[in-house]
Amino acid sequence: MARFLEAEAFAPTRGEWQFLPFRFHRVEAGVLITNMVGEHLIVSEEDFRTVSDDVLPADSPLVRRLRSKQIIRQPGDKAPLDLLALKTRTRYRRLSESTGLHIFVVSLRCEHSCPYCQVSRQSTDKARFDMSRATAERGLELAFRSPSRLLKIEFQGGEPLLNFDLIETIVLEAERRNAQHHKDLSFVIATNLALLDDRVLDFCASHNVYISTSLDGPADLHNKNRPRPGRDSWDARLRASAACVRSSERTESPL
Amino acid sequence: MSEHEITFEAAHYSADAIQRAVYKLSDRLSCDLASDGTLYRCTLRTLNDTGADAGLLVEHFRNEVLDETLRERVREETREVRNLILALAFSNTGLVDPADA
Repeated sequence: MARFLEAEAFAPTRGEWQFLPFRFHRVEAGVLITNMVGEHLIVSEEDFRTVSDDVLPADSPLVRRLRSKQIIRQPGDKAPLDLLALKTRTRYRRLSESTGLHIFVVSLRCEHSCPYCQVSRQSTDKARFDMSRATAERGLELAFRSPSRLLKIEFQGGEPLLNFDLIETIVLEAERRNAQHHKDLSFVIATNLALLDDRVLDFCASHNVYISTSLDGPADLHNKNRPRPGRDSWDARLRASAACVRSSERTESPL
Repeated sequence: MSEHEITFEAAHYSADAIQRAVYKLSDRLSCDLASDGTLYRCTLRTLNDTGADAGLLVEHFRNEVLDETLRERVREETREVRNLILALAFSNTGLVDPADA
């Protein structure tokens, strides 16, 4: 009758370990070892010497730890390779989706003068700092070439509401193109809300355009950070936020 | 600032490992590296030393070259298996054209 071999037949043979890709760095607690997918363990200096000098025993707590993190393997053992491949694929899964967020900077104009703003703000009477329709259409072509099934178009600036005509054009054109592509399409406007009016609110409600804004803190801090004519950025933002909420409730749209 | 000269045998150490060690400690020392084919000659200059610390720093550099040599060995020994793992990882994602595989 067939029977199992003794346990020793399944035990790894001394000295037949192969390295898998790993990195190491000496730290206060010992030696930090990381595997190919960034998982780690910390071993003592003495244990690390047995690794680097290739004098690992057939079995030991250290060997079991190193195997569990795919730092070493037995020759011909395919399971660690499959595991590392799976973890690598999971880690980089997002690459196959490409990017789903596309930012349209529709204007470099802004009526605020925030000292920390990264945009080269231009004053409101310089219309040549707005995105052209041709550029917007080219941007949409690129956005729809993304293999991602999710597509979020975010409008930024400057203050994007200063070029709201183009925002309307982009939203309508994106919806028209999406009739063929069937992506999960969404829109958001990042705005200081100072130029929000009923026209903007009605359009956003009709097309499920989200509105994103921020406060820098209480009124004195916010207004110091966000200077604008009238020095009322905080009040204007709160009034506009309330208008957004009312519009959202009235139209049952997310905003 | 103090100056120290140490040598490494080219048969056992690579210029790449020495350079990586120098770069890692570049906030504390600089190095002029020369070679005559059999020896790498490192002229180390400590940037902020106080005598005894300079000696320790030089030994730290020597150990760092050893570590970089080990890292080099691991990279070489695992190069093929790393490529195999990456091929396994991306073989069925649609990112690689079968014609190019």
